[in-house]
Amino acid sequence: MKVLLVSLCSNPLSDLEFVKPVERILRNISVDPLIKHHSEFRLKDLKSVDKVIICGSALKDKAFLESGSFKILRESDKPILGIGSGFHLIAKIFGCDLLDKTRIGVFRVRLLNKNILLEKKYFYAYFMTKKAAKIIKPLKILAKMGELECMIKHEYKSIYGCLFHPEVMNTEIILNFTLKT
Amino acid sequence: MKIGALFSGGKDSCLAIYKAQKFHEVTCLISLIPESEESRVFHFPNIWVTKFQAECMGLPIVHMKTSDEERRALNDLSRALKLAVRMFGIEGIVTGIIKSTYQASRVQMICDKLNLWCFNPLWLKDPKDLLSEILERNFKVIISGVFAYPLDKSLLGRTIDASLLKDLFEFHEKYGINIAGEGGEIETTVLDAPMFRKRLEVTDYEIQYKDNSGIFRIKDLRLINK
Repeated sequence: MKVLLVSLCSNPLSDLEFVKPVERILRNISVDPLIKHHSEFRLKDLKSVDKVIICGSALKDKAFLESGSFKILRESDKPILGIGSGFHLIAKIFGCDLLDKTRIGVFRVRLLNKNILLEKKYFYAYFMTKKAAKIIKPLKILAKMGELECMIKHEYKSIYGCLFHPEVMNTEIILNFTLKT
Repeated sequence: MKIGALFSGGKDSCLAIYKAQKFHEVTCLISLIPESEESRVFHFPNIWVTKFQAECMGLPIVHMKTSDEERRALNDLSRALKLAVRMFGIEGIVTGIIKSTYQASRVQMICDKLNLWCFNPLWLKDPKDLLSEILERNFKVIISGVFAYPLDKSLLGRTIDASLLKDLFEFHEKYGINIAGEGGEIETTVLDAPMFRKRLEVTDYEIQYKDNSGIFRIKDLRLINK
């Protein structure tokens, strides 16, 4: 299976914090991912892999939101998982407004809709974000932290977003995305 | 980018600095000196040695005394970072945090308030890989504190080498000890590292050990040219 990890980090030192941990989870199940920085992300990369994980980035990173290269994801049928900043990106691609909302730390999350990434009704997750999104169709809400929409899915496609960082406390989300979608 | 390093003198903060220096200019170290050994937030044994480790690296160090009480300790960290911004023009910090969401979230919140970049290059790194990297990169690290069964007095002052790694891996398998020591089971002190221009040699020490808990207290040391 070919999985592409996309880095949104404007600083390579941040890759060790946001990309490397996801890479380790994949390597533990013998998946050797292709890793690309968002500035080098092209249609041919998307075509050459089975799945895409868009990793998180530092709180101060914003440059990726201006990148036009992600518009191709809108038309894609490949499974995609956006983590942290990757959630922001997926929300933006599908027309959601991003709102300033800072949440840093471990918070309790309530699952609203059954899905193949996670079955627990309540769980704790690690958040590190300065933005949230007002979710609109074709995205639907899978989970909330308080009133914050923190896990989303495309209505028809296997396109997911986690506002929290599953690589920290909820690795099964990454495993299920990789193995079951 | 000019960055400061949160520095305890242990293996994690030293390895984090080593990694950060590949991409940024580490312009200062920042060490908080807890009032007592009860501090939940900051590393204690031999914290005075950080001044000499800074000299080995040729870097200035910001020392600030800090409270044992959490909220005050975090205010102290914030004050120390503001001071480092004023004195050295740092735009970010690097830490050696590995897995503690408690520590990571608090440092991230402070950096966010101060508009600083926060880098955690060891984040979620496997403890075995971390210790192996310490050896591969020729860091000289001694065990300066043990705080859990079955870690005993014989470990205090020992250099982390292949034989000690084997023992630590066994403790991890048998007793679930976090061998990276971030849970507070083990504290370390770095005497030499690739970015050190001089190395440290301990010339006087004392060992205090009681009830599965002990400290290798460095009483005197000297700097040796490399």
